[in-house]
Amino acid sequence: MMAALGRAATMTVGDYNPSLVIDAVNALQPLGKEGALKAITSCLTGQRDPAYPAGLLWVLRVLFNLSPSQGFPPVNIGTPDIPPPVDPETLPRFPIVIVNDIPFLVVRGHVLRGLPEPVEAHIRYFLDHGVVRDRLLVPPATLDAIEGEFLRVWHAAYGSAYAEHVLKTIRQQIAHLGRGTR
Amino acid sequence: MREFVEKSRATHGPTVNPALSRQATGHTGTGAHLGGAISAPRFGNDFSRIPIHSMRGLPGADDENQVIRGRTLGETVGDVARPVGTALGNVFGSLVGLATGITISSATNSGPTHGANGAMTWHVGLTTSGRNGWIVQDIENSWRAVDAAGSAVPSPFTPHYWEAWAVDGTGNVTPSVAGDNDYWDQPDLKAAFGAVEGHWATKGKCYFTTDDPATQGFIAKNPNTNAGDLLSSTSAPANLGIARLHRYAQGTWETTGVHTGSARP
Repeated sequence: MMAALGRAATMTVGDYNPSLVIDAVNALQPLGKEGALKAITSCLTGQRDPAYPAGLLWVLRVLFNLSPSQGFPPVNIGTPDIPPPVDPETLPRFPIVIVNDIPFLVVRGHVLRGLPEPVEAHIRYFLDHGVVRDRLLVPPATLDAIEGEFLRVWHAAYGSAYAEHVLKTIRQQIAHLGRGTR
Repeated sequence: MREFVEKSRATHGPTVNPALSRQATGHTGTGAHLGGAISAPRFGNDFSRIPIHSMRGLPGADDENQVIRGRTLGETVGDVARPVGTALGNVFGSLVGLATGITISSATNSGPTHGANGAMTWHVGLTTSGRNGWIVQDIENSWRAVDAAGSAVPSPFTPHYWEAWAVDGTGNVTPSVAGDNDYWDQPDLKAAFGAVEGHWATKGKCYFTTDDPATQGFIAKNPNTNAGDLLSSTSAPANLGIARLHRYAQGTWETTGVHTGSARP
């Protein structure tokens, strides 16, 4: 379980692989809220530069559900290549978008001249407000229709904006899934 | 669309390019901006009709924008001037520190690493002899980039803003993440923004103040800056005094993916 979590934690935004997040989330889900957060916190213990564990933010956003009125905490790790949707409720987990149990990361990187928000702040937020998802992630056996499904969700949030850009992004991630690179 | 030119300048004699003159002085080189201070008759001679520079060397008026070995002339001048200005600024900042007893310094914890296609990683910790106040860093970003079609790519950087860290009574600088106070990070700019070549630069000037930035319009997680979680503002705070630490980083990336640059301190 810790190995899966470690692999997800250290992946960069540019090398995002949904398989690693699926593995980590499915390993943590049976632990329940406190057990999962304890494991994630232990991943941070003794952590020193240079690796900011952005992958843990993605694991948290997939592992937990929140009430619609609560909302997910914004990710403050710099300026992303695609801004958040005007209406946060259209993509509540932005920059993560879950389609058919596949957690896509829809940004390719962040420009930062400052400091990223500590992962601990998100852990505290989910400790206070989060509810662990009630079932494991089970991606579909075939990925043939996944692009169309994703675009349907995307258009509801952004219209046609950034569609070409984001499709290139998720195609790389679909390729990871197709190769089973876990 | 910008014209990309490789040219040799060795065939001409020693000239001062007008673009260089503009870069250094902010003026056109005729001397008129000096209000006659230089061109007024002195020693019995009137120099007002003599241009300060020669027009030989580079043709045309848009020399600053021509790209030579990946950099425009203005960028080349800036890339040379930035380290010199930073070093001089830090000498001055040290002298001010000696006089006032307050210094600011940085220690690199990782990087600076210039990755492919403009990617950058540089993480530093900040220390100061100041107590019970704030370090405020004045950030200036510049950017020039084109996509594969040669069209300009809008800058993902906020051109100018200020960001702040609190300093407590024992000198702890917060916030920090794993020993770092400041990240100058950016992704592969081709992958993230479609920018296949270009130039970027960041200058930082650090001040110590006892005026609370939160009372001067600074907010955390400001979406109008690149400061991330820090308190930041696009409006200049008052009473910053003299900069006690000067920092810079810069880079040029080419269509081959090669990215060269420098960063200090």
